[in-house]
Amino acid sequence: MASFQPDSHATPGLGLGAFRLAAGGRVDRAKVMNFRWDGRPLTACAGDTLASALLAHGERLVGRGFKFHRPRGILSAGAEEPNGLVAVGSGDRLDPSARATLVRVHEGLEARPQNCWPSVRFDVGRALDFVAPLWPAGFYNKTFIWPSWHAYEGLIRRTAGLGDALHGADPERYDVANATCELLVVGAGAAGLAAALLASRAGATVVLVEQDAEFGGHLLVESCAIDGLPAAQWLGRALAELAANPRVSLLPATTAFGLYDHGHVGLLERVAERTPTSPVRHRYWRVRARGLVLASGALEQPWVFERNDLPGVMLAGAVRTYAQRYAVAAGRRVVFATNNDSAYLAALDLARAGVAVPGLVDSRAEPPRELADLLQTAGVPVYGGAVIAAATGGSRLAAVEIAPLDGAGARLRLECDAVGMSAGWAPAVHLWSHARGRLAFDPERQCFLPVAGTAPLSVAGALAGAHTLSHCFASAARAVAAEASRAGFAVDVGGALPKVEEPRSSPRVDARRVSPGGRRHRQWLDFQHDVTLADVDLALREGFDAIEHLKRYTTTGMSVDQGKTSNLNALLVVAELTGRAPDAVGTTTFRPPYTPVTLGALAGRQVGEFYAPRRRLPAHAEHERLGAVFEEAGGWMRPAWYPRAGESKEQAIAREVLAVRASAGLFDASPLGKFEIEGPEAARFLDAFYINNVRTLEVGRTRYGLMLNENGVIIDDGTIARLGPQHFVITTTSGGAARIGAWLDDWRQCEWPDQDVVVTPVTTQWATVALAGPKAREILSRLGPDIDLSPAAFPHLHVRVGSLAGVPTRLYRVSFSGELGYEINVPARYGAALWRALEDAGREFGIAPYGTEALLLLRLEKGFLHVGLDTDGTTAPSDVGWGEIALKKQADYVGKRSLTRPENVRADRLQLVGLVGEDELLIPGTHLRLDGTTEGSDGWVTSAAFSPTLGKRVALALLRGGRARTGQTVTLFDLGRTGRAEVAPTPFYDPKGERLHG
Amino acid sequence: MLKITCPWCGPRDEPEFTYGGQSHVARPSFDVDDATWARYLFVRDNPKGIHFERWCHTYGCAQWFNVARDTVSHEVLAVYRMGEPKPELGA
Amino acid sequence: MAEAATAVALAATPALATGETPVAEGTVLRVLPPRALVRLQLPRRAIAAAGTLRIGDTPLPTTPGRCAGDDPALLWLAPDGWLLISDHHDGAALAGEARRACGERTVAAVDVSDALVGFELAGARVRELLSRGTGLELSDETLAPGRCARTRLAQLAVIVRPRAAERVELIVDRGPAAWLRDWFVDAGGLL
Repeated sequence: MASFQPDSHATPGLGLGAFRLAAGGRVDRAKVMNFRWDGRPLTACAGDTLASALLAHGERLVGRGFKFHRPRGILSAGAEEPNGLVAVGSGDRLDPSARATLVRVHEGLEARPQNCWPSVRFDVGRALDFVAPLWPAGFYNKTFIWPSWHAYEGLIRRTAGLGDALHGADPERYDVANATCELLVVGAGAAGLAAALLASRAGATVVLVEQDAEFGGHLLVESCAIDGLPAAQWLGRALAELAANPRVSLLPATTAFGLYDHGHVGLLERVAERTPTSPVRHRYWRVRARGLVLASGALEQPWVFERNDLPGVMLAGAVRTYAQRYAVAAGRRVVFATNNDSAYLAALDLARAGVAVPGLVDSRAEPPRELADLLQTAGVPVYGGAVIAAATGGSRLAAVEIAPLDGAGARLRLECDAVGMSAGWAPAVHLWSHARGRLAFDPERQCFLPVAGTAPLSVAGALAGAHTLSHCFASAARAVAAEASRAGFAVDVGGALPKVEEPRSSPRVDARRVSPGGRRHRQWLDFQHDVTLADVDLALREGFDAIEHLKRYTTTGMSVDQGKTSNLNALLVVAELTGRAPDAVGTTTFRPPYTPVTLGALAGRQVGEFYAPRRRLPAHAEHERLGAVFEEAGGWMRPAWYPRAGESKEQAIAREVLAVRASAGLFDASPLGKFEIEGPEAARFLDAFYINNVRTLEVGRTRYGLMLNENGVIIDDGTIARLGPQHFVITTTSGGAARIGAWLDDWRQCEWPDQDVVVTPVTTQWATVALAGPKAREILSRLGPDIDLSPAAFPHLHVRVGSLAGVPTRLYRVSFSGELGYEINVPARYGAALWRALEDAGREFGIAPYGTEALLLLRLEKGFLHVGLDTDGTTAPSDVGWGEIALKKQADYVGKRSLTRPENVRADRLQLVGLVGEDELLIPGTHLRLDGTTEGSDGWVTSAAFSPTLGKRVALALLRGGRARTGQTVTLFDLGRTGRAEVAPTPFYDPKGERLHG
Repeated sequence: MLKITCPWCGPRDEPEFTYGGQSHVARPSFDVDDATWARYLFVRDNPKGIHFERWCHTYGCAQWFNVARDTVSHEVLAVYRMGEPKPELGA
Repeated sequence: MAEAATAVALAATPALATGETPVAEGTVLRVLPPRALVRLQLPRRAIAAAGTLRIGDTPLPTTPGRCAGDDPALLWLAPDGWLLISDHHDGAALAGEARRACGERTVAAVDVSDALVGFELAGARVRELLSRGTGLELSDETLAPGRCARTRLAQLAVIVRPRAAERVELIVDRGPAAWLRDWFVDAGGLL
């Protein structure tokens, strides 16, 4: 039978591959694509995966084992692939550890194997295999004990890991989308399709997700008839119906990677795989589903026999898939080994495609008659009650040894270049387990199945234990009925289900999955992490018989495939070796993601300038015009300094500071949090938040206020202004605006709901410009205020409401710089014009705009506190010089009771002090030690800078018992270096505060 | 990501909300002893099972309300407004 | 100081210039012209009285997520809070009218015309664009005119007010308004 594609219409010399079948399959033989594997040119047909294209060319060796660097070939045809982990692409677009079974070949694709050097064919690391006994299970853990981790670290760091990590920024773009639906169906095989059809016919909004680029699942390889149509045709008809329904969203090449709370499912759509022109590589869908049908199928499990890791040894279903879907023969002579019925259909399809099948080995003494007859008719001998004892060959499979289980009779050697094995199926329960659904061992199927009703979703198809298409359809109908009532839509599932003509088969799986005898350290349980039966033996000998311990000790199932083809075998082996029931051994915990998710997809659009919202000041354009250097603070883009030509940062800041001291400066303070507090109980309400007395504040005056949390710790500061008997405006720190707004509202709603008070946030309604310096009054007066600015009429710490240059204003006399100062508020639309007007009016006085850096330096010279910088999560009012005021106030306020707790009255608390000195270590973050202290820290520098006004270095620090230490010297220390500084009184500048009253 | 039903706005995603810790914690009067005050500050329930807690619909109506949530399954068993009594929930 | 009144006049600058930005195929983002916006709030003890209050002829809506009236439009934001929108008043006048209508003693009405920026997102891909930034269920019901919802969109608190099929008004704080416009352009490019 001429079953193989002749080397005709393809790239000269390459053809479509020597193992490409002449007929059948879903690949397009007319669309030939070129790609490179390990630097060599190869061809593929449209529809090929990298794995199918490699197999078509007889490329058996696709990678090297993690630990022993043994040669490995493709095992599966899906997401469970443990061996075919390859690097796709190059440079910053390298995709490490991609599954060759899922990578769709496109023109120009570049892929190469991993974990081998210099090449996959000759790998130096293979030497490790010849000293394998030196690398037993738990080797890694033992390196911590003897003689020391450091003796092994270098070697382990060099050999650990499979792929190469990327170093550059990811140049790809990722989209994130939210969606809601009445029914989400995960898996578009027979069961998933049926579920989507039933729900969509009932008018429900449905999202159908399929990991593969093609919908259909098992239907893509089935040759039976459904409703009188070949399976592939029935599939096409079903898909057309779904695609025509606007309430159905079809998402192929999309993996449901995690199931979270309340019907929230994470999906990863590989957009570029289907639409190479899209700017989006992946789209992360956050779906909230009212109803959820999981039809994620089942994963075939490998047999455990000696050298079952030889390239060519594959899963039976995968062999079938490569033949039926990709028209690729896994080998020229393929032997099958099974403990269940499913491999018969695989063997039958291969034989019918003209591939030599020297035999099917069934561990069951009595093979299923109907299926066995079909095989015999196709010329395939069936060996019942036998297993593959060992595979033989060099770096690829040459033959298998068949051994009868009853011990009678000789071993039989079958020459072959591929094996299709099946040790039963493990339902893909991962998402079910994410939802904390329970599992129970099914002795008939020899696997763990979901226990219905233990998670708020339904399962269908192979995941629910269905072993035929008819069972899949029936389970889908049950699942949709259950989910319809959960999601609240009406559905009639009583109608006729699709009729399937398929061979009779049984779900029964033989308990045997390990061939008896053989060298146990050459029988692989976990191909990806190189775990053998001998490793499990050792772990059990050393007492690691709890499955979670054994998993970690042997690392079974801990590689990137998370044990999709190894967990069940390991668990059943442990059950057998320890004489426990599989349920008693239990399963390890499945956690998201089902398959790896690119971090970029989770970050989505939140990268670069869209990482977090950026807020712009009303006068942003003015600051740009002035050449401001912007820094993000509290989400605001704020001018940090305004360099003039040739100026360094330090020079610019010093010039700005000196301008304020000598003449006037202009600062954009618009981000200051602003809240209007109104109502008959406004004063009482505010009084409960400040250590300062609010009730006694007169109309037209402002007061500085400190706010505490219930622990007595300072959380914010700002001004309280009384505009009327029942009307206050408070300001908060710029960074604290949202937090303090929420804080006030929390107490208002939850603790004092009966108070007659309303809080309105108005932070961005007003533009705020701080005008500071000895010339401030003169400059402000030029803007035509209808407010008397004279010191007598408008002294320090007062507030006036009026108009300025014809627009409404709220004018404060407050100062954070220590100079005569005003905070001028106008509606934000006038912010830019106000800034320009003040610049113009101040020009003849040498007014200078100043940024946040100069602001912080000005206040440091004055020793003014900057909450959050000079305080931390323990700082109480008494630590910063506000203790007396805080304790004097009679009325209760938030945090007051805590001020007299023993912790808050200790003498050795960290307290804010001034420091002076010329040591270069006098910088923020430097630790302090008191004389006599040799260990630990007695505090640290919180703010420090060279004061251009004073011509010396000044600092603030939190120092143990600091308030009693003025005049003492302390040691500065940082990373082994030390210096000295003196505790000095504050303010450093204008200690009597005369200037701000100017 | 939880789905929480705001008593006013209906079901919304968790990122719209702010968690506010255990609810029904009474604030003692100012003159209690240190131990009582410390209990109010620092001691909270940590049940495996039903937890009564405060949430605020920060990005929606900005209202604080109570949620009874199962800390094992994250199931929201009840939502009710601030000031309303704890609902009776079957054990 | 009156002699210093040298006729300085301050010109108003909107947060964003009024205009239209294409964000996706057949879909544009418009910056709405400045309008009068007033935040109306009741003390919590007066919430029960909300049903009896009216601005002009329009009762304050007390059903969550509903709008009432045309000009001023009254948007429910909270059981004790509404946003008033008018094209025909200035903010201070609208606030004054609201205080008079509801009784000075009962409500706080604060001019927030400068604190918020209105956008209109219009076109075939409105729903898709919104889904990129918010988990709000974008059902026909949510997007029906007469509704309004404050939600989290692109990490920001945004008021979503459907005006017609495929036309949604978005009201957002002034500070991040320009950023949000850029965000929509970026999101539209990745649809």
